[in-house]
Amino acid sequence: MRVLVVDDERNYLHEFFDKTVSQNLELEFSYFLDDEESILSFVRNHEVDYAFLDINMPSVDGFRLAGSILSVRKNVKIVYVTGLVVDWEDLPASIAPSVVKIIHKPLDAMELSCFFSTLTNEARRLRAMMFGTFDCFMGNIAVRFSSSKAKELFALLLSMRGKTLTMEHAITCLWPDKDLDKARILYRDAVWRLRSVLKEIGFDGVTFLKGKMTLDTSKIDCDYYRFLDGDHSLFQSEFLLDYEWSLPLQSRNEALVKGFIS
Amino acid sequence: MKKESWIILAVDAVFAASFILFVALLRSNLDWLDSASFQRGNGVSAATALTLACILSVVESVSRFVNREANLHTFFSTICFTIAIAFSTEFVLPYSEAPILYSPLHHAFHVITILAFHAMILFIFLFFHSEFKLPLYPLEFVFFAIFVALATGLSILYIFFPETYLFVLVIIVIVVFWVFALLKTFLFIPFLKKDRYAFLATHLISLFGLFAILGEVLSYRYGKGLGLLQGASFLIAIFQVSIYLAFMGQSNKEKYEKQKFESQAKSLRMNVLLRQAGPHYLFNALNTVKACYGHSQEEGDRAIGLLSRNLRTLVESADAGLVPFEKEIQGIMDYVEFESLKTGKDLPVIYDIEETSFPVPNFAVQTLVENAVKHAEIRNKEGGVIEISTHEEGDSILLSIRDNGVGFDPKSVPIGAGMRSSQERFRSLLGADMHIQSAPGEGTEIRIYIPKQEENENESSGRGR
Repeated sequence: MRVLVVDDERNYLHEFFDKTVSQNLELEFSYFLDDEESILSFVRNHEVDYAFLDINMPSVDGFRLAGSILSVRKNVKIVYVTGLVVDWEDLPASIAPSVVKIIHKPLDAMELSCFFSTLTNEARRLRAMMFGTFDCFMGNIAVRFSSSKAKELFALLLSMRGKTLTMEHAITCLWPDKDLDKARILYRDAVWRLRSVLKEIGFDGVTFLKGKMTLDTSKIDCDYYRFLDGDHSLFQSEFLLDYEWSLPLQSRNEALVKGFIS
Repeated sequence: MKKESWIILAVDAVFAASFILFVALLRSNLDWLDSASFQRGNGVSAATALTLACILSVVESVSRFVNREANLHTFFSTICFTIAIAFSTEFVLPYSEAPILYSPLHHAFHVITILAFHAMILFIFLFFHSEFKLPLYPLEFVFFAIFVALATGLSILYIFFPETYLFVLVIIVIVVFWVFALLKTFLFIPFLKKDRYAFLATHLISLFGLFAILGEVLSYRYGKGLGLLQGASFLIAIFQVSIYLAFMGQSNKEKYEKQKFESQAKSLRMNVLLRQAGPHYLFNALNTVKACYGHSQEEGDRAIGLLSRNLRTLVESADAGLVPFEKEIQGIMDYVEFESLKTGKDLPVIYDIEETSFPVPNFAVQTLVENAVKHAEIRNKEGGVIEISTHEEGDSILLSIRDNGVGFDPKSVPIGAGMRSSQERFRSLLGADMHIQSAPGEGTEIRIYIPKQEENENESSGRGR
C-alpha cells in the first residue's frame, strides 16, 4: 500500500518520517510539499491508497487538494493532519465521504501506529513480551501504563491466558498485604487506568465486567503463549521480572523446557 | 409513615366526615334545599364552576395547539371535566327551559356525567403514567374498566328500576372506584422526589371528584340541586388552576435560574480559558515541556501531547454544558499527568471509578480536582492522596473527591469562585446536590449526588407543557 504525505512544512514531513520509520510497516510512503502539480502528476502515474494532507497550506488548501486528488483517483482515502480545531461537520460535502480520519498536530507516534495497524489489518496488533521484564508494544511503540500496578494487573490477566481474572484473585496477587477495603479501591484504580490506556491504544480485546475481566487471546501476540504452544526457544531465565506471583509460572516454564512435563 | 402521608390522611378524613355529615343532614331535612335563595346560589355557583372548566379547556387547547408535542391526556381530562359539569343534574335543572326532571334527556345527561367523571380520572392517571412514570398495570385497567362499566350499568338500571338497593349499589361501586384512585396517589406520594405537589393536588382532585360524582347521584335521586357537585367541581377547578400556576412559576423560575447560571458559567469558563491559555499559563507549560525534552525525547513528546490535548479541549468545549463523565475524567487524568511531569514527582491520585454512564457539567469536576491539588498540599504529606470515586447509591450516583491534605474550616474560609460555580452548575444542570466537608488537618471531602438520568430526560423538569 502506498501513502502520500503532504505538508507545506519540511520539518513536519521529517517528523512524520521519524515517527513511522521505526515501525517496520509494510507501507510505502511518498512525501510532498504543497505543490499541486507534482502531487497530481504523481497520483496519475502511481497507485495511491491513502493521502495524509494538511489543511492550512499557502499554495493550495487541503480541501481543494483532496478534491483534485479524488478527481484523478477516486478511491484514495484521505486523512487530515491539522493543528486547527476541525470537526467532521466542517468538511466539505464533496470530499467528506473519502475522509477516514482527522489527526491533530502535534503528531503522536502511538496514534499513527494504531491507525496504520488497522490498515494492515493485523489481527494480533498488540504484542506482549512476558519473558524478561513485562512490556507491551503497539507497532514498535511501547505502551505506557499510567501506573505500575495497572501494568502488573495486565500482566496477571495475560498470564491467565483467556481465563477470567476475578477481583479477589487480583487482590491476592497484587495487594496481598493491604486490608480488603483499601485493596478493593486500589484494584478499581488499577482497572480504570488499564481501561484508559487500552482505550487510548485502541485495543478492544479485554472485556471488563463488575469484579472481573477477560482477555480475548486471539487479539494479542504474546511470547508466553507461543512458548506454551511449543516454541521453547523463546524461554528466558527471567519471566515477568519483579512480579512475585509469577514465580510458580516460571517454575512450570522451566519444567516444560527441561522436559519434565509436557 | 411520613409527615405528608399523615397530612393527606387527615385531609381525606376531614372531607369524608364533612360529606357524611352533609348527607346525614340531607336525609333529615330536605326543605331548605327548596328555598329560592339556595337554588339561586346553587345555580350561580354551578355556572361559575362550568365557566372555570371552560377556561381550563381553552387553555389546554391553546397549549396543545402551540406545543404539538404536549401531552393529550391533560387536554382530554379537562374536556371530560367540562362535559361532566355541563351535563350534571345540578347544572341542567336550573338552566333548562322546559321541565326536564326525569325526562329521557335528563337520564341520558346523568349517565354522561357519571362516565365523564370517571374518564377524567382515567386521563389524569394516564398523564402521570406517561409524564412521571407512575406505574399502571394491565390488571388495574381491567379493574377500572369493570368498575366503570358497573357504575354506568347500575345507574342505567336504576333509571328503569328505582329500587333503593340498586341505588346503594351504585353508591358503593362508585366509592370503591374512587377510593382506589385515592389510594394510588396516596401510595406514590412518599416515593416522589420532585413534583410531589402535583401528586398531592391530584389526590385532592380525586377526592373532590368522588364528592362531585356522589353529588350527581344524590341530586338525581332527590331530583334537585344539592350543591355538592358544583361545590366539589369548584374546588377541582381551583386546584387545577393552582397546578398550572405552580408549574408555570416553577418552570419559569427553573428556566431563569438555568439561564442565569449558564451565562455565569460561560463567563467563568471564558475566564478560565483566558487564564489557562493566556501567556502566563502557556509559558509555564512550555517550560515544563522544555524540561521534559531535557530528560528524554519520549517524555517531551508526551508532555507536548498532553498540553495540546488540553488546549484543544479548552477551545472545543468552551460552549458545551454537559459532557460525558468519561471525557471529563480523561481531561483530569491528562491534567494530573501534566502536573506530575511539571514537578517531576507523581501526583498521587486514585481513580475508584465504578460508574461512568452519566453526564457532568464541563470542567466542573476538573475545577474541584485542581482546587485539591493547589490547596490540599498533598505532595508535602507522607501518604497524601486525592481519591476520585463514583459509586451507585440508591437511585443516585455519588461522585466524591476526597483528599487527606490540610483541609480548611468551611465556616471561616468562604469557598472559592470555581467551587461555587461547579456547585451551582451541578444543581441547575443536573439537579445534583454538592456537599463540602472539611476540617483543618483532616482533609476535605466533596460529595456530589447525581440523580440517575432517564434516557429521554435531559432537562431538569419533566413536564412537557
